[in-house]
Amino acid sequence: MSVVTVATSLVQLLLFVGGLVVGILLRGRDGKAALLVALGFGVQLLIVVLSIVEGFVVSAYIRSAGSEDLASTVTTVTYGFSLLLTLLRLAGCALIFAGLLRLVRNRPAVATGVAR
Amino acid sequence: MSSSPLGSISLIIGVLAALAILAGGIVLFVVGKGRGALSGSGFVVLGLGTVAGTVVSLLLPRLLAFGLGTSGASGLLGGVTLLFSLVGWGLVIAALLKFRAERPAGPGQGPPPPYGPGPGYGPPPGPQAPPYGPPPGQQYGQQYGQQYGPGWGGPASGTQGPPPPPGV
Repeated sequence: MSVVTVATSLVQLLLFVGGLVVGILLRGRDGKAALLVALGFGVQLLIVVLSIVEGFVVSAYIRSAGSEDLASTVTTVTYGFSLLLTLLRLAGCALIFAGLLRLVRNRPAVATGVAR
Repeated sequence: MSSSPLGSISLIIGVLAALAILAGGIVLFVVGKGRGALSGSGFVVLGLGTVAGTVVSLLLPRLLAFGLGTSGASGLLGGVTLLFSLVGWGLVIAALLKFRAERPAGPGQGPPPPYGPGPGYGPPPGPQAPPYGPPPGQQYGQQYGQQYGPGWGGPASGTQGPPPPPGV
């Protein structure tokens, strides 16, 4: 793994753990939105973990295998992982988007000046 | 475009996902009317980051042909991804923190009713105020001053009570 890859993974891990904590803390304000945001950041964390696992799996396979079609196998595995991670990233972003949309639309009564 | 069919599918789905994230950011911008500015801009940056990552991936063979090297190319791709994800997710988390800082509309935390506070909102009933006039000590002082002379607490000393009986 290169330095940039390790730095990217570490920064993303920190960001997503922070987002997960903030999402959990939001449950006092809107429980459903907090659940959506926390699930979305959990999916993003899963993506980071899977990409780290992918790096280890591919490098271990390259070290162990000695077949002729090594390059094609590695390419297939890499593109398969890439497709899976893209779909997961889209799902996580959709969950966070739904939570944020709910938070944006449901304005608190104090902020809008509406007396209950 | 990549030579593998799986690579082509992955690339197309990546571009579509980037466009979807970008569209989501614009929707948050429009629907939020000011409140969704931070989160909307975060999603827009994330979508742009995905597009930039895809463009760099497409340009990788050309970059390698120019003599960038495998590690340099992967470093460039990682740097672009890191920069955009740092800014985008930072904006989204800042928006969430801002939402968390807003006061919730729970019971008892709203504005006071328009008809004014009820009987339960006033100060607690305390001890009754003393009637107008000098305090009790001054009354005793005047009384004893008149009875025993000015040395026993007249109006000048005022607040002193009667002297203790002798022998105590």
